Amino acid sequence: MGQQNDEKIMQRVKDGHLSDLTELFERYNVPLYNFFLKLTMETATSEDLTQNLFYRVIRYRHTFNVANGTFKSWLYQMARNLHADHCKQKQRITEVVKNTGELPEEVADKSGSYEEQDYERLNLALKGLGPVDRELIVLSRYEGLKYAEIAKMKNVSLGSIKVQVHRALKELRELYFKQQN
Amino acid sequence: MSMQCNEVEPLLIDYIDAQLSPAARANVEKHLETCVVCKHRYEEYKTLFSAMNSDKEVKPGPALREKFDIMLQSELNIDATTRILKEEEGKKVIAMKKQPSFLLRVAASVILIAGGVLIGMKMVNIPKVVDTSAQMAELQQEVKEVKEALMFNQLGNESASERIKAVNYVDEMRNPDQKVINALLNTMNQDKNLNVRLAALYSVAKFSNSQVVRDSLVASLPRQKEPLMQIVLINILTEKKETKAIAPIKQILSDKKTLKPVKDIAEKGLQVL
Repeated sequence: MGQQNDEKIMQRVKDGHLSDLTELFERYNVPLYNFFLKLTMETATSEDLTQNLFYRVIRYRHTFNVANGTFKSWLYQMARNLHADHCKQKQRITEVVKNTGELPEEVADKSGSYEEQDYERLNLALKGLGPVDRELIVLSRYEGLKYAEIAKMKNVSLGSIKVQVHRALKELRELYFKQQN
Repeated sequence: MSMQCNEVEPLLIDYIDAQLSPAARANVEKHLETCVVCKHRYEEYKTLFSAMNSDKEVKPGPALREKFDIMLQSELNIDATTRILKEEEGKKVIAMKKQPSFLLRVAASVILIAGGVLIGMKMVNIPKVVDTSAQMAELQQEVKEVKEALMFNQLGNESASERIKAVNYVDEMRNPDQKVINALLNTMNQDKNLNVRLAALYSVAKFSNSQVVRDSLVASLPRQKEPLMQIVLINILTEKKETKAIAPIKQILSDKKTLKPVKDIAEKGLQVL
């Protein structure tokens, strides 16, 4: 079996060939995990969210429709919703512990040969962004979604998404280089 | 035509991404040759992007894949079960011959058992230790307790796949005590998910050499309304030649609501007993 496109595979899953979903899991579990990791900076949470996302893919497989866009944008739309739910939940918890000060944040695994300093610097800069800007950057630069796909997800015009992403990148650049001084 | 810095800045990103038209590109390049401030910004974007590119993907733990496999397997079981039951109902209306429904039934059992085995295999990853020393025995006792605690904890889990996993922990226990057996029986009788109930039944069936367990299975028989549960229970009890099952099996036979394939199995069972 050659490299089939995502949409074809998902269509087969929808038609009852559920085990074909394994192929989509292979393709997307690592990117999705990293998507959540960039947004939450917590490894355990990110694993849970990835797991929940695939549960939703199984549950809502009948709602996938090629006419409405790519599989990838359908997937990340659900990922965004899950993350939003998670934030709401976390906010409720934070309200409770507000008086005890800052919540300790788990720092992600720093494995590999990649320079630790650069990694932390980039993560700090990303953390400095607002949640909306951070999500825009992760979707467009890390997950490789097209501006048009993000525009459709957020239900805004292509031009407006471009401006927003550029503005977010500008802010990220400033935050990244400000740390140097 | 020369560009202003405020016009160039928004184009820098597209320039690096090679998304500009040749004309716009030439303009930006011309500007960068002469403007130090924009050139500096351009370098900064490039550094930032290369840092983002070398920001390697982190791999999730192995549990993620394992959980996905279990989730998918459980969904496949649900899927196969509902499909077969639907076809059975369809057959009842058209009143077809016996043969195909029998094949379907066999298919259903094969799917369910294979599913159970698959899930079971995933769970057996603790190496078996053979050692007679007291220390070893103590260690094994501890492991057993941990598994029991895990099982009890997981049985209350929201997700059906987690509960199936909990049920399968029993396969790793050598001599589960009455507490564990009771938990399995409870799950088998009361869990809201058919796959979990079936998994519990398969697990508890391994201990059907015990009269207490067989009595519990007999007692459970009249409560089962799900055809698959009825079939599996009847098969287990007749295989063990449990004569106490005769009365409840007869009851199932006389029930008008009982599906034809269940009745077939029940009749065969009675012949054996």
